Amino acid sequence: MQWSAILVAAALRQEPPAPEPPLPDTQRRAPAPRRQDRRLGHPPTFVEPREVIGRVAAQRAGIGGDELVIGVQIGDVARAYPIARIALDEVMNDTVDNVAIAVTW
Amino acid sequence: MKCQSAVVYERKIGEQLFSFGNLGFVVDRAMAMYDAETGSSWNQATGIAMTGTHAGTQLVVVPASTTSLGAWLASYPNSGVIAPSSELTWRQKVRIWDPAVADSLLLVVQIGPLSRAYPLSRFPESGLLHDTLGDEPIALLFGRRPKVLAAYSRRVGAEVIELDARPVTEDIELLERGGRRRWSAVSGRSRPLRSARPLRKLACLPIDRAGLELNYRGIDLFGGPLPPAPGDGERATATTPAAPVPPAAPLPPDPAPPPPSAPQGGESDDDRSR
Repeated sequence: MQWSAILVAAALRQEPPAPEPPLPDTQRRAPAPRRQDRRLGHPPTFVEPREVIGRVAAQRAGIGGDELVIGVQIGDVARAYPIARIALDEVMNDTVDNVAIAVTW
Repeated sequence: MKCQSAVVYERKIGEQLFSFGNLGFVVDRAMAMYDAETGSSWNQATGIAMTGTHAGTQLVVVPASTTSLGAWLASYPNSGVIAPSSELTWRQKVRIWDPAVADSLLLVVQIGPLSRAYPLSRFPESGLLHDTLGDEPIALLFGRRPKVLAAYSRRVGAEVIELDARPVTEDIELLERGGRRRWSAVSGRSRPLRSARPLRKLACLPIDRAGLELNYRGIDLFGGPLPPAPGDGERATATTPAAPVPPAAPLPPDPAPPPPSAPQGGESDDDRSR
């Protein structure tokens, strides 16, 4: 199925935008773009981790101990997904100890 | 605005493996996902396919913890950490522990087909809440310092235990009430390591009230119905048909005490010092 068809189908299920107060014709303007509009018309990307690093490298990369993470332990493997990173694309595909997972925010 | 929902899903159904992307839409306050293999679109908060060949299919939730990196690494010193992106600006979008919004957030716990929503405002000061979902005795933790959000079964072997919570360095210790066993709230493993069976982690997800009402209509609410929230009348126009809750992985067999070799997560410095 074409992704554009999915875009249309999903658009039909969107929440209606909040109504704006009416403006005189002279002040009428286009509504401010909503975040999701920015991606409309573009195929989705399928994100995987670029690199998995250890605690020392994480400190060097500036990820502080207070950074909130989604922590997953599957079998013998533990992995932390900083939410600030996940929030960038909102979904990340990964494989942990041979289990395919999607971490979402 | 999205619904503060952090969820990990298995991305395999039967033999079909999926790669998910973000469609760029918010549907019912949840991100709309898209899979590359079949072109189905999925609701991120429920894991249910909305359109496409998999419409109506549900993804399985993987138990996970939401916590700080420091607390996670204290329990799993050898854990991998996803590297930041060069595009990344470290903005904090998580509002779960924001006192201004905590009253509007809930934790949804799922055990197989059963689920219940727990308003964070109804957690006691200790952050530890006991309940029974179906026939499963459970404990939910909304720890504030350090920040830990997790749910566990209170069944250890054939016993059902009650727990108390005590903050320790980079963790919250769960202590057996009337007993001597204790566990890490971040990992569910015993402290010291291998001194007892680990606690069984349950699938749970945080979600805000509006997201819950849109995506989990009719879900059982711990403590009874919530009082009306400001703006309820407006939201009532934006609801969609109630969706079934996504399935959580069935409870695995009670975990046996871990083998002598520590997993990659490794034992913490704290454990080693005991």
